[in-house]
Amino acid sequence: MTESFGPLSPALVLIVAGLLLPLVRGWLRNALFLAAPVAALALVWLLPLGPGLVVDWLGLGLVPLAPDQLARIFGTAFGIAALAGALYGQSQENVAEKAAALIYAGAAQGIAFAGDLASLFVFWEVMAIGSTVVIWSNGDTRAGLRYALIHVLGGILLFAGIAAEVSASGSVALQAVRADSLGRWLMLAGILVNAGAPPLSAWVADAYPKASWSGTVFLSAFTTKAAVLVLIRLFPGEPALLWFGLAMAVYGMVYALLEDDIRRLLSYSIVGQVGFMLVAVGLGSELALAAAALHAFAHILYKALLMMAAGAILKATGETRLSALGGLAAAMPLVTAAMLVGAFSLAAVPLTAGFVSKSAIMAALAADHAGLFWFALTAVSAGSFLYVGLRLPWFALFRPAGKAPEPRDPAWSMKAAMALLCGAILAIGCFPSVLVPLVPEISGVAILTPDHVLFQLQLLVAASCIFVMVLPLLRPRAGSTLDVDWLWRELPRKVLPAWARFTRPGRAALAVLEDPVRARLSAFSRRFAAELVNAANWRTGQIAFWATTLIAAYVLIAAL
Amino acid sequence: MERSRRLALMALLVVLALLVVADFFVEDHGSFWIDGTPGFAAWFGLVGAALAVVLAQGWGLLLRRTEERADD
Amino acid sequence: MIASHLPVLLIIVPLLGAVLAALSRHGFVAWLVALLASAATMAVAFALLWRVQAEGLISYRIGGWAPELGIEYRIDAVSAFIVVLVSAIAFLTMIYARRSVLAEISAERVAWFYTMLLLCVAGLLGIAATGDAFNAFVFLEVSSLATYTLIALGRDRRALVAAYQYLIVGTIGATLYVIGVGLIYLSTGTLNIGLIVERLASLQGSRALTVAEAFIVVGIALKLALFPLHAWLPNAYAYAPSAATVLLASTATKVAVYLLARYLFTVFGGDIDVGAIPISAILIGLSVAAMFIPSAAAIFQNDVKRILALSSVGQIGYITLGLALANQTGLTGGLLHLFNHALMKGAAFMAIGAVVYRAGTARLDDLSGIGRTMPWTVAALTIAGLALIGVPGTSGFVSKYYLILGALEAGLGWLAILIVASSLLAVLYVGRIVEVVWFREPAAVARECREAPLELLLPMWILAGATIWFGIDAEWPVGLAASAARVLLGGAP
Repeated sequence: MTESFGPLSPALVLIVAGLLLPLVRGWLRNALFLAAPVAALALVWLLPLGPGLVVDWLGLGLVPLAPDQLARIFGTAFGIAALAGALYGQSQENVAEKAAALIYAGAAQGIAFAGDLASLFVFWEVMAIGSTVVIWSNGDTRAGLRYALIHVLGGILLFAGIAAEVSASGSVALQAVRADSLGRWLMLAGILVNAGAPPLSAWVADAYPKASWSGTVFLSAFTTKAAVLVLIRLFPGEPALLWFGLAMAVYGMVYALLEDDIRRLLSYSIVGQVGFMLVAVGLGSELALAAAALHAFAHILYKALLMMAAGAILKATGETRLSALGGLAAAMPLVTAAMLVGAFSLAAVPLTAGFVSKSAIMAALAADHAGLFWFALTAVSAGSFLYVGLRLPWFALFRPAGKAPEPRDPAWSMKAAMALLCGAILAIGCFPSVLVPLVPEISGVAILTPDHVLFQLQLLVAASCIFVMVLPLLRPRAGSTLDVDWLWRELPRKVLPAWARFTRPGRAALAVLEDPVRARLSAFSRRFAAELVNAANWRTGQIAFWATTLIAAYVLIAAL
Repeated sequence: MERSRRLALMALLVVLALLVVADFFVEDHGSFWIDGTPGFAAWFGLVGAALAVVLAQGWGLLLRRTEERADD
Repeated sequence: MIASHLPVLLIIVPLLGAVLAALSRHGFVAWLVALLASAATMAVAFALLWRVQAEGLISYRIGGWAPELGIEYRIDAVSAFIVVLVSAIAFLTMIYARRSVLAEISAERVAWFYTMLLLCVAGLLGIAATGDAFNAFVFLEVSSLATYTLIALGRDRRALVAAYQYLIVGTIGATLYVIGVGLIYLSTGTLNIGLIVERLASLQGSRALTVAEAFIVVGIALKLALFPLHAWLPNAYAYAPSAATVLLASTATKVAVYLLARYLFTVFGGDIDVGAIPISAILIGLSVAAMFIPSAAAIFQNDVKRILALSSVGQIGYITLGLALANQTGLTGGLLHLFNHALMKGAAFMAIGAVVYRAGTARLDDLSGIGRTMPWTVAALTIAGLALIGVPGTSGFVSKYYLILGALEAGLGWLAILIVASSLLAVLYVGRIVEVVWFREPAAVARECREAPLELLLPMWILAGATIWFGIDAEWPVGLAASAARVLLGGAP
């Protein structure tokens, strides 16, 4: 069995390291926490590209390790994110979170390198478990459970789809398909749940901010981007993705513009940026798919950086609400720089990684004459600069604050991680050609040409004008914006009292009848609840009754 | 509008104007005709960002609440 | 020549062990006897499996009498599969039992406990080995009587009530079964299953047989705790001594499933809808109800043993679903789940037994943060829990996978979705346990605990390890289950 796994997989290295992590102590634990992502990243590049070894498992030809170009792009991004996240989280004391983070990162690598549907699904589930534990280990159990249930639902949909696909085609091979049968729709739905697509986008902003200052960095990198990867592999050119992507881009922008909490704002913006990737996957041309992968790559870097900056602010001040922050720039210069680099990259300011990848997406849209999406996404880009490039830094860092909180300097490891990502983002932004070996398709895209840079600068300065003009409107306000998750987070709590209010008018008239009915109803619901709690405490007679009933039913049916 | 904001806005508008002027001197490669016209990104950015704010504010009027989520 | 007497040795060794254990009257001696007897039984079981795989059906005539007159033991791929499972679990239980029993049962009763444990094993193995309908009833009673005593030995006073309830229900079940067997005897004139099958061929459509089948199916359904006839099980498992619970949860209901499969497939033929009774449809309905309702009830329990017990009722639903599907893949899935569930539930009950051993309680409220002080025990419980959910990489995934394929093969796509959807409930009840034992701050009880002794950890981790191992390399159990399914469906072994 072991030898058939062939060369060591980056996924295995990380998962085994994650399992071993709680068993070692002290500096050894921190060293392992850092060494495993380094080894995984090295493996991503050392593995020769090729079809991978076929492992026979219950008659299915599994290919758990199939290194191809796409796997290498995402493997590199996941590897850098894991490495930077591990560096950043060195001072995190919670070993459960660190172990789970490594397993989570390993599962993401597993998805990148999986060469068949079954291995893919296995890593998909491991990823759900790992990420749930990362959230859980910060103590918010209800949010963790909500997150777990959403992902179990996604897993179920994906599994049902895969089972249908396998039983229809008889093979577990990963192949590009269209959503043209129930099974494939189920598969697409399962992947879209993880991507944060509507109508279930709300889980991203619900769950990610509940993790610790270091946990969110890992969360921001893997789940949604792994879903993008799987979409590139399975559903390239699926027209439905264009619309899902556009809806996500608009949703992310609108909710982020309204949001007060930094990490929740950044979570909404994850959905928005994944929307850009989905539009590109929906286009399906070679350039568009490469652009989607590249944008995922860049997004992993800058979103991890932004989450690090947010985590540093949280750790230093105990606060992430914009309405309660302000004037941090002087006290935390490095965090300020990191946040600006990350934000500018998200907003595709020239000389950042985000500019390169967004240019590639726009070029792909233009090449396919997808005018509607091109203009819509350009407008959303301008809006994105509003929330992340202007609103976030202004209110968190630069505006004069009444009472500046007393920030503490972040640990050296946190600074190093942020510096690493800043360097990577700027290097890619200044020298886009370094990416050509990784993504050859983008070699023809105009990136740092004068007209293109000028175009982007006009767009950004125009957005800045609007920002200054309507500044009071964008002032952060404490509160929350309703989302679909209201259905499962608050509706149940509301329905019962509302029902009581609804029935009140009729109550006077029915006063005579009501009491016995209500008594019976409440007795019934009490009994129902008690029935579940005491499910086992039936009387013997009840069992005998059921046995008799069953026999009677059998015999009756037979006699008929 | 307080003074500093007005100043900032004026400075930004000047920069924007300069950028639009510069746009007349580079060769544009538009993909959809209109986006290749000089100054397109400037007015489209103004309109797009304004639309984004309007959309967000409208959505906020409908669905933004002042209280935190009960179970956060 | 000992090899030719293997089938009967399977029963005689534990029976003899029971007698010796009873005579010894001494706790440690009785344990040693039980351990040796179960080890020998396991060796016999594996030898039988090996021979069945090499030679096919083994027929053994007790005392050399012809099947028309005497009792015949028939070991085929199905029986061998069950026999190996039961004897292996029994052996692991014996290793586990010594310290657990010392802590839970008063010293003068320890020898009786092992006597009953061995009697129960002998009865269960007998049901699987015999080829005689009435002899199966006798063994059913042997194992049941031993089980009542085992449950009643629990130190909780509610154990007595639970044992009493099970006694009543078990007796009803056995009575229904024996009535059915009587009806078959009236129609065919024989009690030997092989002969019954031959003679039934000419009697298709007989009203008496239809009624007989109804009685037998319902009677066995009581023993295997098929929903809604399951209500005796949770209390019995929750209040029995920990070691007894391990054995019962992993083997007793499984053997009843075996008996049901025997009757549905071997006796009443591959097409399980005999006569006018749509047994397949009824069984699917009840199985689905079992997958959802008791699992939902498990979410609301506060006693981990009861959570696990109710989950057992739910998991039995998957097994009977496999029988109801009645195609090669589905039946393989059902039998595989029978095997896998025995391992994972054995590990889970061993783990919670070890927690009771240290902490003295299985109430979830009291177990906050106990993972910090008993990491190995709680890790085994977690692995078993993941397998109950059906997480990939655990054996539970493999068996659910086969069940889903079987449902799709039968053209029941909605059933495949229900199988997966019911896992959501397992996520909830397992998630509750995991959350409390790992992520809560340790309560007073947890802080004072130490890790369980090696004697408890070793068998627990053998089962937990097997749960992982068979989740990754499932070749062996799948092969066993598939050949058993082929035999049941009437093909060559």
